[in-house]
Amino acid sequence: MPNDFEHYRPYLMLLAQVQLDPRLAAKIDASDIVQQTMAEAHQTAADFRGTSDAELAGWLRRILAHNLADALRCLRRDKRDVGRERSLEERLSESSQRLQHWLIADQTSPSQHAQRQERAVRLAQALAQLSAPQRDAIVLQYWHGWSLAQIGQKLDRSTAAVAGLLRRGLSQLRQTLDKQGVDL
Amino acid sequence: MNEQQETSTRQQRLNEIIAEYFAAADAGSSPDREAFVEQHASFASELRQFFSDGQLFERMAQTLSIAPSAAAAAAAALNAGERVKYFGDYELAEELARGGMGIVYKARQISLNRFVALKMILSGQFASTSEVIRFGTEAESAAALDHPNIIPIYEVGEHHGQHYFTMKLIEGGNIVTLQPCAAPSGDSDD
Repeated sequence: MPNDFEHYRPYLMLLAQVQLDPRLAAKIDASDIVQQTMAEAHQTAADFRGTSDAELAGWLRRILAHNLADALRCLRRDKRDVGRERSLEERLSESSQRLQHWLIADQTSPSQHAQRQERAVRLAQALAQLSAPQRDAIVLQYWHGWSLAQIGQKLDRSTAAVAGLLRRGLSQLRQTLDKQGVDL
Repeated sequence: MNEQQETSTRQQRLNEIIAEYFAAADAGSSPDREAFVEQHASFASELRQFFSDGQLFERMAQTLSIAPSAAAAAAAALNAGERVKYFGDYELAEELARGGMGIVYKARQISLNRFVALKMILSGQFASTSEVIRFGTEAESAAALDHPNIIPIYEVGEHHGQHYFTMKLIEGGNIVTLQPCAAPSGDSDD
């Protein structure tokens, strides 16, 4: 089972990107958190007693959530020590709230949503195959609700170019999922 | 104009139209998709394809179970403390802390009408056996200690498969802020 951890890397990466406010990207690197999560999973693999994929994904998700929470907590503390940066403080607290909700939802919803989860893993893998700008545009637009102008500013592109990233990215996602035979 | 140039000009125009659609949606006018497609009839099939790809993505994205609006709404509800959660004999008042293994709530023990600190194992019903054992060991060893500087344990139990223990509620400071933080990853030299 531990060998299957890698299968979930794109899934954990997507969850981290969705959970973290993108404006914190300079302070908290999602891929670092995922890397740390994978390392901890390998170290504590003996603790995992589940048998199903859903349980494995749930276990990895919990480790990820703790690592994200720790990173946010430390950042908040640093900010308090170093001086106040109000907007950052707000973003941190928003990210913490999202995480809190996510953990609670995770705890109360039973793991029989195995099929649902498998689809999420497939989606994350398909997203991982896109170019970074296409993936960023989709994540920022859909999960973070950024306008095309905001995304364009971050990616240094015109709004029309961002629309092109979304259009081609979504089209490629459909084709990838189609090819994998995911029941759309 | 050769065919390739024509294609790229056409795609450029298509992208601009899609950008207009998003701008209208962001401005709050939530444009009717079908009407929008009709307005740009020469791009009808491309636009329909785009909307259809988008809908498919949204269906898949929902499986991540973090719909953006739902997350925001739930966070707001949590903050406002609108939700009262009952847990056996306890009414959960607020979350005090969250650690590697468990969550600690401030809770009111209904039968005795007193506030306690209630710690439950974070992973709930899906806790592995070793996690449950470790949790039980923590509660047992804490219960075995009797010292004015050590928080007394009131009860160890299980409710609907959820393991928990309660202890005396100490109001005031947050010991979490005394814990060391790991150095930011950027500063590490590994």
